[in-house]
Amino acid sequence: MRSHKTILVVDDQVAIRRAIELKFSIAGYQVISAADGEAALELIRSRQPDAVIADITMPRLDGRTLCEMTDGIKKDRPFLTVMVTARISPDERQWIQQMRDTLFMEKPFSPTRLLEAVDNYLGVSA
Amino acid sequence: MKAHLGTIGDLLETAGRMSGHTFHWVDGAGAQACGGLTKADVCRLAKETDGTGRAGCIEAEDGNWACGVPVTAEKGERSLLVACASDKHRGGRDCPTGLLQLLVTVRQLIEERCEAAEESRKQAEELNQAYEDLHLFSQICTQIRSLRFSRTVLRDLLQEVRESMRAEMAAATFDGRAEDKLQIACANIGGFVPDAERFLDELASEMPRSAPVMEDHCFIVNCSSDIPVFRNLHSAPFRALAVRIRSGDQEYGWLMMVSFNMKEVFRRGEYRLLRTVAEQMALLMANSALYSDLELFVINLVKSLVMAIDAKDACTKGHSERVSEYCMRMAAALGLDEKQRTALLWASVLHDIGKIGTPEVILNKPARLSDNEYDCIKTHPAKGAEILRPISQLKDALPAIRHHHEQYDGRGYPDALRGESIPLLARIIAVADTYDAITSQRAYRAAHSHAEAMRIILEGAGSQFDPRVVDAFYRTVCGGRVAFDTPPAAGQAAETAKQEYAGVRQ
Repeated sequence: MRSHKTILVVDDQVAIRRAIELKFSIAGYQVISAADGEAALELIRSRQPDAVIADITMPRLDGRTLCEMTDGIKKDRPFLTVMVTARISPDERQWIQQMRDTLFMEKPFSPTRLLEAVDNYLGVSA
Repeated sequence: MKAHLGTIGDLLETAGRMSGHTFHWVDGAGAQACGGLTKADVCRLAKETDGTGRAGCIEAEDGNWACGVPVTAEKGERSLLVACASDKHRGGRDCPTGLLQLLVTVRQLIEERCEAAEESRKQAEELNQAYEDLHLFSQICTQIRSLRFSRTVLRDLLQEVRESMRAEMAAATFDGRAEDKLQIACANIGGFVPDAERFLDELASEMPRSAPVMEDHCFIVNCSSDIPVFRNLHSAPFRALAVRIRSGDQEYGWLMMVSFNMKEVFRRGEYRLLRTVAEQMALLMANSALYSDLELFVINLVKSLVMAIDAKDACTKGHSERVSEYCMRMAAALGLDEKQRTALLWASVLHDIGKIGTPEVILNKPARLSDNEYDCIKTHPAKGAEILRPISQLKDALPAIRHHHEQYDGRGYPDALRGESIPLLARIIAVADTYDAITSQRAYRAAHSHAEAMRIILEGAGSQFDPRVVDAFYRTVCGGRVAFDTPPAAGQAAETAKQEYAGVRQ
């Protein structure tokens, strides 16, 4: 049941955030969003989302730091993080592999694939 | 409507505080209770405002009164903005002017907000689609990078395009090909189209004949039930898009999409995408064809060269091809990689090319050679490598050609190399070459048996030949057995034969 799951979308670009929000809300998920890493961290703590979709390059708190800071939380309450980025950096995949329940997607990503990945992790189907 | 309640909630609250009434925005048709109003109250109010677009005023069941205006938001969906008064005082049959003004203002704000939200939703949707397209393009670019058009590349590509266009079937047909004429990528549609191949095949031939033309070489059927020939192809209505795969004047086939989901349509963007994919496919096929042509040209050229050697010596007819065959079998057993195998293939086929420069009198002499004649024969490996040197594509094969008459113990020619310093490919050719020379008829003697040849080769392991290569030869060419099917030749004869073949006249 998608309606019982909450997805947090974190991106400082409002258009991309809206696009992802729409994709997931049409699919039936509860969607919350944040424009930077700090706000995201707070929402992760207060709203306990089931999946977080975040950009790596963000103001205030970047995606990598966000990931590292939430990695500990996942020990007790696992949730999925999908890191989305347009940045080309060879070590990106490496540090992401070290993180619990974290996927990596390159921009341009397919919103459908993104939805599939989240569905898969949460074990829900359309 | 519910989607906007969060943002509009503040608006209603503000209006409520300003007027002292409570404001509600409710679904007009489905009538729900709100404030102090019952469902029936809301129904009555909706009816009063219905069709007029004007404000309505009712006395509710609890004796309070309420005013409402119809709201047109979200694709004309009917809804109602209601103001409930909390006192029983009724200011007449009509809505008080001040409240009416407030209602109209709030309605306008709601409608504007809904419109903006709808606009933003559409933009987000478009952005989503743009992202899908972009993703697809990047996928296709990756796949198109490969020079050769393989079946798997094509199927992956079709699958990718099909998913992106949310169609149930994607197919590519190729003109004039018996094999691989049709490639299909299908969604899991069970037995909905029992014979998909036939369906798509017929569709491909019917599209250019009967479907409306979009542009040059592009055809579209938006609803199959509108056109008899397409209606006959499948009982369920479908929509189809077909684009010619062509590059310049060369036409290769059709790229097609079929969908049975009639709630959606093929969009412009998707059509453009399909055209682009078809163009890329055509380019790839043109490249592929050029590449194959070129490859075939080279192969035929080499065949001609080999025939030129064969023509000089009737006895060695087919020798190069057989040697090549043995070599390739050993290559598999020795675990050679692709690059080494290609080099070995060329080297083994062309190893005797240097004999072009050897007089036929010597090659076909039915008697023992003089020292001078023998020296002349011995120049052919180096000559061969020299002849082929200008062909840079064969540079990896040259050392194998130059050294195929070296011996493991250093007694060979032209450079008297020893052991591992002889290129591996040359060591492989040496064994295959010797075996075929012994088992073939020569100008000066008859052919020897497989058993004799094997005996000589096994005896030469470690002296004339690399033992590892002999082992591979033994395993692959003899199928793991030495077939001494004829009685071994008398000791003396075998010794003579061994000397004779020890690199002298192969």
